[in-house]
Amino acid sequence: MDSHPEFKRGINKSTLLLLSVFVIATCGLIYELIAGTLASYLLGDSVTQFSTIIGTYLFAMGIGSYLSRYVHRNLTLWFIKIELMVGLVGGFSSILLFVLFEQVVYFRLILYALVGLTGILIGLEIPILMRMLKDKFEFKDLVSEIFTFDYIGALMASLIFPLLFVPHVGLIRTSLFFGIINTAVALWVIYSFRNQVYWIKSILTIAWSILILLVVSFVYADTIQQYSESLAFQDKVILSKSSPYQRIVVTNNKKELRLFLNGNLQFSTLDEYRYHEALVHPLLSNIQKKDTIVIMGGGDGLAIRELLKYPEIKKIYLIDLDKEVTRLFKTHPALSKLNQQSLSDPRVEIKNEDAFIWAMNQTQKYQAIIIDFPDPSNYSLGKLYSYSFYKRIYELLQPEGAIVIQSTSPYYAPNSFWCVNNTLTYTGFHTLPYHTYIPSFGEWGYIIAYKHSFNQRTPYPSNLKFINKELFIQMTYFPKDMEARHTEVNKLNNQALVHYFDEEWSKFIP
Amino acid sequence: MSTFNRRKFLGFILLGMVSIPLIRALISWIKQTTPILPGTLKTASYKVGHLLWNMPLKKISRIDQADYVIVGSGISALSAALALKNQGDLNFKILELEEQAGGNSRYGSNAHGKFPLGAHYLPIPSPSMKELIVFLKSAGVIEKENEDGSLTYNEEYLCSAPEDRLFIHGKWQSGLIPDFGVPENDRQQIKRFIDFTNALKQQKGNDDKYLFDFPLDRSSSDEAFRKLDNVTMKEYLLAEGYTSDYLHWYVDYSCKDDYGTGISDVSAWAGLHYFCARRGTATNGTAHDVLTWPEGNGWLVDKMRQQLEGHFITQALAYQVNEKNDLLEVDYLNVKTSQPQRIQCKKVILCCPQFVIKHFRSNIPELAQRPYNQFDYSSWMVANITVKNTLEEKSGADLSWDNVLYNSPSLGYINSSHQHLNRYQPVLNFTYYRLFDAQQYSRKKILQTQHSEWADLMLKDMRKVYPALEKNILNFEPFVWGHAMIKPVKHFIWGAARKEAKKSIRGKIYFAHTDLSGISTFEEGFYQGIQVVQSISTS
Repeated sequence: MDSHPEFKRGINKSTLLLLSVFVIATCGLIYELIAGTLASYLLGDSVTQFSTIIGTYLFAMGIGSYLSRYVHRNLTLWFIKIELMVGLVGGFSSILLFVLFEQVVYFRLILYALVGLTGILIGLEIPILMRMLKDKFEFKDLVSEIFTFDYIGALMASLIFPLLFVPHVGLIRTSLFFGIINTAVALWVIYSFRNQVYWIKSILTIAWSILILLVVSFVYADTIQQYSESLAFQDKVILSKSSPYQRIVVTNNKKELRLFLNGNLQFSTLDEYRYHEALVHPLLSNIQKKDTIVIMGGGDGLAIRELLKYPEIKKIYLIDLDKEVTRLFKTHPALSKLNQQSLSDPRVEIKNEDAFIWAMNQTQKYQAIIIDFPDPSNYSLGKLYSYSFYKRIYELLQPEGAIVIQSTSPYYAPNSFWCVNNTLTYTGFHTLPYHTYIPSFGEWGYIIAYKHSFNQRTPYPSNLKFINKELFIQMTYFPKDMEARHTEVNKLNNQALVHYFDEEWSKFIP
Repeated sequence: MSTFNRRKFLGFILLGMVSIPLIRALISWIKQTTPILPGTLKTASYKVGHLLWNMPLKKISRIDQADYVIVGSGISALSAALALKNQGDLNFKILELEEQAGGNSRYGSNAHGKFPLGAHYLPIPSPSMKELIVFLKSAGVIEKENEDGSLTYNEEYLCSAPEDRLFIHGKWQSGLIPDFGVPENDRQQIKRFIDFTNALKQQKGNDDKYLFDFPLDRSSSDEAFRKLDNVTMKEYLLAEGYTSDYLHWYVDYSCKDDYGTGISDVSAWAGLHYFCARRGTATNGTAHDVLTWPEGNGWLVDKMRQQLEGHFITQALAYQVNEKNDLLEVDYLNVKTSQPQRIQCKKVILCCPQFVIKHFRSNIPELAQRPYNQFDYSSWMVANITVKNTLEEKSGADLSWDNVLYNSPSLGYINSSHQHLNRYQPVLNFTYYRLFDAQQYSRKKILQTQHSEWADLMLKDMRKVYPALEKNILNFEPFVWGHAMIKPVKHFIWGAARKEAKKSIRGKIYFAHTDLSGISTFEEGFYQGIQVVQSISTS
């Protein structure tokens, strides 16, 4: 099939084609490495991911080579088309995988389909190229040249990928970059062989469009990455803000509104009343003189909404680090409706300070402190559950005072829950742990800690939906699967709680 | 023709769309590779110090009297002063060249907190270090002494978890002993070494003293072990069959961290001392735990200083000690007024390094005959790097207090914001430690190196863990120490020079400094001060 008279005009074009073998080999292997890396990032177990992806890729190349026998005419056009397809599929593969990971149940299927498709295309390319060049070189030279370039390309890819691209360019940009190179090679081939390519205009339009798409995506890769993050939420995102401390996202569906901080659910409007009533009222029933209450964390104002059910409270100090959270829950119409404008109540004084530092600087002593921090999922939060912190809180408390602490789940994370309890008793507190069921969270735990005595002395407010005296007594009973256990004391210099928490929750949240 | 033009026009637009972002990216990439970091270069006041070499003689403008004059205000000086005060001698003055006391334990500060310029931690002391424990109690570091004699430390001053991590084979592992990706044979050697040194830690010599103790002069004089001072740590390791590169790196790193020089330089006795002398215990910590503060040991300096108010004369460059009848006359230059002043006293305690004493003028012949050239010092560059807390971390262990890079030319960096109690800090102070070998990088060259060159050296190293570091740096402040720490090289600790230099001159001039110990640690400095006052009282 001697359909390439151009070759006789010079060696340039055959060199160009050989060079493109090199590029194809490099790009092909890079796409495979990207898929492997992404799969290990997203699914874990890198040995399995890399083995199965390399296997799939090589096998798909075999399929491609087999399929090449069905390509009869227009080899150059086929070559260009395949090259463009590789650029498009390979170039966008990492974006596609990032976005689809959070969306699709059959992520693995898509992953292997993508790897397979790239493999088939690359597998098609080499035989077609050999046939295009078969009359330009002697067979032994042709095979030698093509495979030499192929393997050098593979070496190059396996070196530059981990050393240069992953650390300095990032996965999304790497795949786009090689997509751009693939497409550029295709364009070069189009221009060099323009006389023997049919439908030159439409091929050129397609090629340039793909190139522009890739380049634009390359420039805006950061934005794309952020977008793929926001896809992590199932519901409509009605608000999304970044404060210096965390990412605040509020989602909405027909039934409920939910708040996420750094992707962790803080409450759902369906059942948050259970959480907040259980947090606030048992403690308050012990406090006879309810004039000043301190609440740490809880910038959503929902616990304060519960506090405001006591007319005798004169002053509430809200200590929440994040100004953005308190501002949103004070001013945003949908959010301030949830806490019934509690943050605008004249009795509430908001202090956007670090709770530890605030506690260190206090000279006044208090009757009741409500501690509603996020779970101890990292070392910075772990400090707020430490002996040093509780020691300071102990000093801040009047002799008949008491505190309550949200203490994660005694069912999912029993060591964490009892570690908080044991740290409190080590500090000198008496404790009264209790727990209840909150549909959005599961079984959830709190600990009341006091200096001398705890009694439900005063009545609960009448307008509650969930808790009462009798229910609270039931809550203090711990069945065998959540019963008290020995743990280490959480200290600044061991951060035992963060280790427990990590270990226990990782079983439930992969 | 018209289609051609349209195509050409479209082509231009396409070219523009593609090339403009690419050019922009290229420009920002070029900008990135030639960083100019904000900040200034600082040094220990070597320029004023070098005035000693050619001081013009002026008339003394003022004469004071005291019983004792202490020259220098590093840890030995402060500790000597405290010891004098504790035994009721209150008539003493401390002459310090630098504006701030503390010697190697000085610190800096900025809007985001304090940070060390040198020494940054104190391991929990062994129970035998009674005087140090008394001081730590008075400073509130030890919260309480329990009925059984055990000690409970103030948790805020114990290094918070996570304490340390090592960047090795592209990943952060927790702990500094190489583990991630280390072959089995090397692991076994490391384990053998650790087990061996742990056993040696509890071992006593033929005089029933611990083989290795703090202060090191309390260590056993058992010749079987003292002779280890005659070989280098590297020679010793190889002779004992320790060939693992990973182990060598770890021991080398440890020696550099405490002694300012590596295993091919330090004596095996000193090298083993690092691993075998610490037997500290606490109800809430172990011998591995360290006490640290954002400003490093500068916190301890402030506590010592607070107890010594009124005794300091700062920015005072002592240059002359003369004997006149029964008295001594210490002359110093008041750096603020450029006037020479004098204190007449009965005894002088020279708490400065030997290379400074060498330049003193004196009519006392013994001062000129000291074995000065036997004292060798290491040079350091300690840089404060103020960074935005948005740096992307490599995979593995979280940012820790001590962050070390395997096989790096530096000793890694301390997160000096680590001990802060608040939950979130938008800006962090990193303290980066780099040691210089005199053969490769002369003292003169170190003192001539510019800010931008230090920045390049640091970035080249730190980009391995933070590729985008320079974009996040708010301030880079290198501090250069020409003579930072005495090197415990072969034959030094148990050799003649140290023994000779420790002796007082006729019960009048006394010496206390870590270079007379051979190792430059807080503990040794503290005991230099204690011991010198003890020897004054007994003479």
